[in-house]
Amino acid sequence: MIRLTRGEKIFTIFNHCFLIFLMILMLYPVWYIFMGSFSDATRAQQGGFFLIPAGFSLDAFKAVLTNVSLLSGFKTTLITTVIGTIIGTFLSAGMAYALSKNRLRGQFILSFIVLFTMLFNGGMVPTYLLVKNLGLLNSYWALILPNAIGAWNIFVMMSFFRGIPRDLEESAKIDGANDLTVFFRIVLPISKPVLVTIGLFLAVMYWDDFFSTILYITDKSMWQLQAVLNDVITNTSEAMMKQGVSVSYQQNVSKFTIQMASIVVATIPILIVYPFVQKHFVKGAMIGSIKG
Amino acid sequence: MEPTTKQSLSVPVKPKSSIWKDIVRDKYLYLLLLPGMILLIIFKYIPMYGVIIAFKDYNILLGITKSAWVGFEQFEKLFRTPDFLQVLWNTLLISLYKLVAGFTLPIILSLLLNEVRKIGFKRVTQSIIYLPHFISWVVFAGIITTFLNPVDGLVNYILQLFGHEAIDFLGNSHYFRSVLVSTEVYKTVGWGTIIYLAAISGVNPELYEAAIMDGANKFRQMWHVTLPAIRPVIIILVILSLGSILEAGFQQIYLLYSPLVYDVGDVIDTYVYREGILNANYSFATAAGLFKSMIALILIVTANRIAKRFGQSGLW
Amino acid sequence: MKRKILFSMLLVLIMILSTACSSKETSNESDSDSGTVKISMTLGQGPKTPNSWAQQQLESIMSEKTGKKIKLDPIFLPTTDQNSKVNLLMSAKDTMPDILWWNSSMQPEFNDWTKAGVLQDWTPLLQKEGKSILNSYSKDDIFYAWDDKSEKLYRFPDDISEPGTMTTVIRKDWLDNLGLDVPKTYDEYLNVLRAFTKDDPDGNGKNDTYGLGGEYYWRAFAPFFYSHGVDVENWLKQDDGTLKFGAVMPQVKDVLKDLQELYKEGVINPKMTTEANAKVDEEYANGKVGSLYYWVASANPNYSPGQSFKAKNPKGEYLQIDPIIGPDGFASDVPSGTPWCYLSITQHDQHPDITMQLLNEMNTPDTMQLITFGEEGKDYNLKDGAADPLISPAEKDKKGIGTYWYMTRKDKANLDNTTAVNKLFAEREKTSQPMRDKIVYIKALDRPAWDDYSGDLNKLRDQTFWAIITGKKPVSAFDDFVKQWYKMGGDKVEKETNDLYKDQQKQRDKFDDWYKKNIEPYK
Repeated sequence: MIRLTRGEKIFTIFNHCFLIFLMILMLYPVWYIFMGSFSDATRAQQGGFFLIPAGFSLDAFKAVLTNVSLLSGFKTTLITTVIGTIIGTFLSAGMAYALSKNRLRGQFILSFIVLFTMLFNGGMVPTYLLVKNLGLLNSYWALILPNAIGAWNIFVMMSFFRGIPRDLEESAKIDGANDLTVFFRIVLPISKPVLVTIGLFLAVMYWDDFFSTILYITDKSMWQLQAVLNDVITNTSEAMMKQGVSVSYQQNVSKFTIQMASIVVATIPILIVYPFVQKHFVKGAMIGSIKG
Repeated sequence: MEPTTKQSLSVPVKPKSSIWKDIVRDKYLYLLLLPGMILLIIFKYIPMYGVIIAFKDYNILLGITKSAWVGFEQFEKLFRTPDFLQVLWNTLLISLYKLVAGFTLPIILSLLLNEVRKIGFKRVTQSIIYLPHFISWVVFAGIITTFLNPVDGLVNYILQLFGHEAIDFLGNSHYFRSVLVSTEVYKTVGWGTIIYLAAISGVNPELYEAAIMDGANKFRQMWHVTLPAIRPVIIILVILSLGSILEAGFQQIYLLYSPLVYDVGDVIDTYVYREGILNANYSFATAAGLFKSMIALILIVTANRIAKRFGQSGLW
Repeated sequence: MKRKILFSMLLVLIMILSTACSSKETSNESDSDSGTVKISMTLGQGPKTPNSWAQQQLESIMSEKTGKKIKLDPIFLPTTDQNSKVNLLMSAKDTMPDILWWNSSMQPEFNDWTKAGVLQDWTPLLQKEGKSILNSYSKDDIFYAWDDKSEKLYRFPDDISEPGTMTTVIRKDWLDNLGLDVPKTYDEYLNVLRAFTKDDPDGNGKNDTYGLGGEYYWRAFAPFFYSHGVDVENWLKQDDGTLKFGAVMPQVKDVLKDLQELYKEGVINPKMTTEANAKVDEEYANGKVGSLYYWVASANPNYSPGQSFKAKNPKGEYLQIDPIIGPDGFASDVPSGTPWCYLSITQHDQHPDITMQLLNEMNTPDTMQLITFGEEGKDYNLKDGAADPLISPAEKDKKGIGTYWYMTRKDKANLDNTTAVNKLFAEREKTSQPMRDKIVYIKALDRPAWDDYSGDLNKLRDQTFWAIITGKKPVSAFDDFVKQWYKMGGDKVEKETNDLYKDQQKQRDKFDDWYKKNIEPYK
């Protein structure tokens, strides 16, 4: 073990204290939602700040877990997230690897084509008509394919691939490997940190997506989880008041506790993913796998 | 690139066949590029004809092609509005603040996290600070108003304990932008560390060992080993974030602002929302979007040039 | 490794191609086959449960009535970006629903649909199948939906609010504690609000109460503006017969002056200025404000913020009072505006007769009660004339009760309200009449000047008025506002609106003839 200097010791203590403070600060909203979901609906209506549930009730969870649409939304989102993340990660990695090679003819133009999609889009209606003409409305592919490739992900991956020591690839080439073999055998295995990071970003994007439902889905049993959830959260008297909805419908709004319970149920699964990603952030992961 | 150019200078080969040769040589790279490119071209480029509605008086049923051309009328309308300069200034200022805070703080935080030796503590911290990212703005805005309101909000309660007068953070032009920036940072800083932590994990441990041998303390290691190692990622992220320089965060502002802070909080997106969408003026909304994209494109390309001039690897 | 990945990529590609083909098949089968009539419809509110009990009930009632197999195909619209979804559905002929429900904020789009001829005229259908509907909608309701150029009905108001849905509410127990009478005039009302703030009406020894609370919108100040005969969001008839936008009328200045004073004295809850997420229900439940402009329906015993209020303040009581009488003796409640949503029948509909039969059926008291409240004795019991639910809200949602709410009635068939509340609604219809006589809603859909300038003008109004109320600007800023308003395009808007108003008065005569010929005989 290396001895710490006095300055470093003070720094370590300060650092720990700061991070603990930050954790408490960051935890509160989540705690608030969690406690809200266990609250009694009548008491929670009064709002305000709370540390423990305002009254205790499991009614909200009962209501949420028997909600048919939430369950079907779960299925849709799970399928699209898994397939979308796999397709998205591998296709982006392939593109990023190819584009990271300066020797590639047309590299500038091709990169620019990718960048351009980050800034310009044709808008909702043309995209809708395209998906409709492809016959993809109300299908999982409509939720997966349009979002699979993101320029941001590709450029971030490119910068990682550029950091791979060149002699690694070169020695493999001398052994007679082609670019495909190099990519699958050498580049991908040592790029685990960036692959899981981009994979995580894609997974979270697919998990959080609700706009694709608005665009491409009419069948309620195909709604994404977040679309169902968003409907529960925004179905408040406030939203209705803005639209001028007449009072009799305003009584059908979802209660605060049900909103909170829905968020808890819909968010926990994606939170579980992170620890698996973290595992790959071990210092020197890249070098380690090269040696091994 | 270099060897081929030299070759073509020394040996007179037909340039066409040399391109072909390069393509054949890199055929597997093109193969890797192909599936993603196909998806991009289908789902992003084919619908792109839609941007022409910025130059048309768009009627949804006539369709894009049959709607009447109006030239730059929509853009003129955008620039002619009495508050346009104010709105543009607000947008730039808010997004610039967010950009600066949003890229420095995650880097600092990931450096701090990197210094934590206890793996368990580190993992728990990471997992918790990225939680706010998952709370939607609708819910988060509700929490913010509860906390910041001048009557019984917790923040004002604490201020009053210290003998300070209650502040209407959301209704006061002096504080509103700070509230926007700090809540944005709060929500995204933990999430922002992920990419840097991934980059840091790629740093060769031998470099640290060498630095320690040279007697470098922690700060020097950060400065001389960690930061240079993640510099390419930082540069890429900064360049890319310029693409959103005119996106000040529609949802957040829309949920938090009020007439009292229109002077500092009204941005292009909220303005267009009130103006375009409420009056079903899609051409106007598209024109505003196109204006933002053009500015972003210019900034990104310029920033990329600058990065390359300073010998850094840019986007391409 | 390499082979595995290549293989899986190939698999993915095959899957993409295969689903692309298969989903094409499913979209083709939407056409009606073997005598089954399929009716698709967009639905934007209520529980969005597919294949629910309510849907089956409605299908079987309709099958019995028509002798054909009826299948409903509900398209549930998301709450956010609802208009986007409607627009997309309408952008291609084959994805249009048979019955289109749309929010009144989509009038510009409706204008486009009409011009493109994708909507069907309701008149012949109503004459043939719409008796119940014709009997429950008033002449005025139909006027605003009527297209004057073609003399056709391309839309029909779906849900008509009660004529007056809001009322001034005041804390009865606070009045009693302080020995005050129910305020009738404007001055009395201001005094009560001040006493509610300063005299510790709840007797807890803390200075934690406010006189006035409410939401963020201008109607929250109705007791102030309306008692002065102005509405800052609408066009009002002037003595000379022309129209003027309420916000620029001189009376507004007096009201703003009073509001500025009240704000300074701490009578107005400061939350009111910024809470864009109108937490008015929360405020009502907490009971820290003495008066609000609030829903008539809040007087129902099952109103949930009211229940929450009772739980926290067992002795508390809200009283719904008559509108405050202003300095000139004028008093009015807020009248409900034009309908907030409409229905249209698109050209996609191949069997409009059956569609109209369905809509008419949903308007009959028995069917409406069945699908919006369930079965009596099983899902609810009648209590004071209102439905007292026997099942939980979650069960209600699951059965789809309340999903099919087209053409709902607002008479006593509506079991939402107790007899007492229905009586209060009837009173508010009368007390909102004075302002109803003053406000003019412009029916025309082509309003280029309004579309161009209204956004900026309203921003200017909101900014200035709030700045005055909170004391950031002096009351005299109102005069500059009026000048500025006209300079920023208000003059053009005012002229356009007056022209349209004149035209609208002429239209009315034409409409009366049409109504006599096409509607009255079919009632």
